[in-house]
Amino acid sequence: MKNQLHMACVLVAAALLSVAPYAYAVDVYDPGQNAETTLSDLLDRGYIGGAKDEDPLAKGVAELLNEAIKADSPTRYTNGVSAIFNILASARQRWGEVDPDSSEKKLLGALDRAWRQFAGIEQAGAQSQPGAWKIDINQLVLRIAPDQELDFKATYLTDACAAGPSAACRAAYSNAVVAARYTELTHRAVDYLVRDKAILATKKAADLRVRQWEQYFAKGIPQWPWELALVNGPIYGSKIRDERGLAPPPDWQMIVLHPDIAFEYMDDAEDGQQFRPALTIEVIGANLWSWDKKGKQRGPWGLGFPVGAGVLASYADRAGTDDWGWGGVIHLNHKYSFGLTTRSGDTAIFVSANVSSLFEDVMEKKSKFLGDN
Amino acid sequence: MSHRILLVHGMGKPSVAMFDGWKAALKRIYEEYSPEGQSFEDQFDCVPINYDGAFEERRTAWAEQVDEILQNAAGAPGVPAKEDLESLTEDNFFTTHILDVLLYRFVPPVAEDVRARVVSALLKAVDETPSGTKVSVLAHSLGTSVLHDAVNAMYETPRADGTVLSPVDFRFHAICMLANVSRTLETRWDVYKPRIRPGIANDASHAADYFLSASHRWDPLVALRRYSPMESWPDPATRLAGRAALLSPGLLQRWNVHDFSHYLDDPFVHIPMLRFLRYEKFITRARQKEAEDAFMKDNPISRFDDYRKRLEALIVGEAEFSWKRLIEVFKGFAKAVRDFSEN
Repeated sequence: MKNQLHMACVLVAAALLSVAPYAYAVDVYDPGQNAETTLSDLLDRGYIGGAKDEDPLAKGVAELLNEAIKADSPTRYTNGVSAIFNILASARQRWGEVDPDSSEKKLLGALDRAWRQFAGIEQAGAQSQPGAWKIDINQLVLRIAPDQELDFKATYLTDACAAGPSAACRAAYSNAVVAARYTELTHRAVDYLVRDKAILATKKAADLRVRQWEQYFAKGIPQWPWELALVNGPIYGSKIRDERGLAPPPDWQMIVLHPDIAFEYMDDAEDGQQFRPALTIEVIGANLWSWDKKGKQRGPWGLGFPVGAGVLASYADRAGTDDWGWGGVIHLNHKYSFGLTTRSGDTAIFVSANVSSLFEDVMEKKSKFLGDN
Repeated sequence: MSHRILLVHGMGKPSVAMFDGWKAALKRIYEEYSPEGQSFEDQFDCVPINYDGAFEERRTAWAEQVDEILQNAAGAPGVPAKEDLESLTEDNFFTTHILDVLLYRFVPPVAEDVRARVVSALLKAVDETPSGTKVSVLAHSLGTSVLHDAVNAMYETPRADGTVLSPVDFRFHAICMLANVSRTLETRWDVYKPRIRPGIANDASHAADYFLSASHRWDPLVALRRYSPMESWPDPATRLAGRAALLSPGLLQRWNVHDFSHYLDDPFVHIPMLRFLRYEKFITRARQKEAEDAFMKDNPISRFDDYRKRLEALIVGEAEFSWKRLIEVFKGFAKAVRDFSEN
């Protein structure tokens, strides 16, 4: 019975190892592979200090680095610093008595500085930057500081593995894995502490610009292609030449040869001809606004809404007077336009289609301005 | 997943199917070289970055404006019928491809809208990536220019406290640009100077550890203003360390030489790229030679000789860049692809 149970455990272990060859054996060098390439490969695939590392320290650190915790949360900070401390404690326990000139001692020193910097004991320095803990996967070098490098190849593998796989090479490889694990875990913890907080502040600034552009294009007086490409675009482009980063959208727009539909009322017109749809062409005008801190458009000069004005030509087919007239227009809040036109000495007032839609229940809205008496 | 790749599309209407096609192509290429049992999904995760909304919204808005005027003014003297104007608003190569490029290059408000969207999308994708995971970007065609500008803007945009994001706090692992038109469409940022470059030191000078640019020898769209930094760019140490790959592949596989897959399928492009995404020895020299020899055998230079001559006529060196020249080359290239594919 005992032998059968023992055999069953052996078979299960063998099955587990064959399914996931690196799951528990990453620290042990496979003599069929080049030691340096193996180290690069396993580091890159996350088996040393990464998400796939089954080492107890790695799993403990992974639990602390809970991505669900918000970037600016004090808990995230505490967890990240605790993770670094745990890595440091493990390294101290393993390497406490090593040669002061050794690479392990250098790495221990860097780990200690990282912890002290994040714990607020020391001023922030190179060791509190994610890039300082990223191993160069090709050279197998860690550039801990501008003047300090840890060369995994030279330190552990070059001499010991020069003659191929041997007991010395296997021992050296295991030591290299330990050092690489501490490094990679620290990289994850420092990245956890630094990256998201840094990028989210920039993302907030980018999102403000996204909202502003959405307002500019969707809420503003619609721009025709020539207005955008030939007038407003080039003027804006010349103004943002010296801007750094994402440029803010303009707080103005020029209106040039802008066709639109309006509804005119001419009191002096013949009966049945007083109220007519008109095709307007705003020859030249301007629309102004300001931006609030949330990316919404407000009015210029302290007003509550955007305002604009322009000069326009108006076409309305009306018996007893000229078809074309000239006049002026005022724009309020991008959407509502009012103005006066004059033709053959007759004056008409007009409102934009948006305004007239407010009176739909009172007046019949005419959709064509020919033959509709 | 140990590595997230952000995919930045080029001109045209990107779709879920298009991005899935990119992922499938990357998977196929990767698994040609990866050891048995190591799938693409074990190592990589891909996230699309879609900025086409900025162009699509302009096209739609103009179509709606035209519709509104025509609907209300139909029959008025001088007002054309809607069907006569359809070519301006319907989908065709000009409105879905060339117009994107023209809007980005020549209409600054549209370009800034695109950049803001891409910066926001890039940072969202990074934020959603587990700490310590590598993040790389792969861009194609117009996407190379958009990415170039967006990444520069990302590191320059002031935050609420007045500071800016620094590459020491976050940088990409690799930036890969296929059909690199960043110099053709260069506006606010000099393509060789600021941060879109690789580096070794952990400092604020570079936005990525590795950088790859591929501009096909016979691609007329990249040739308008070819991306071609000096031999020592960005600095001798970084070049010697093999962190920059500036590629000019020259073999033709099929008609659309500008297409994403035309670049990706070429081992002279995908081998350096895979080495950046994994590590140098991921593909041995012997395996590399085998792949390159097979590719050269399957795509002899002579096979597309007539087509190559047609493309050569479009590549006239760096004349003064203008929107007219851009449209000329686009139309000439599209016609060449059409003529040869139909025959």
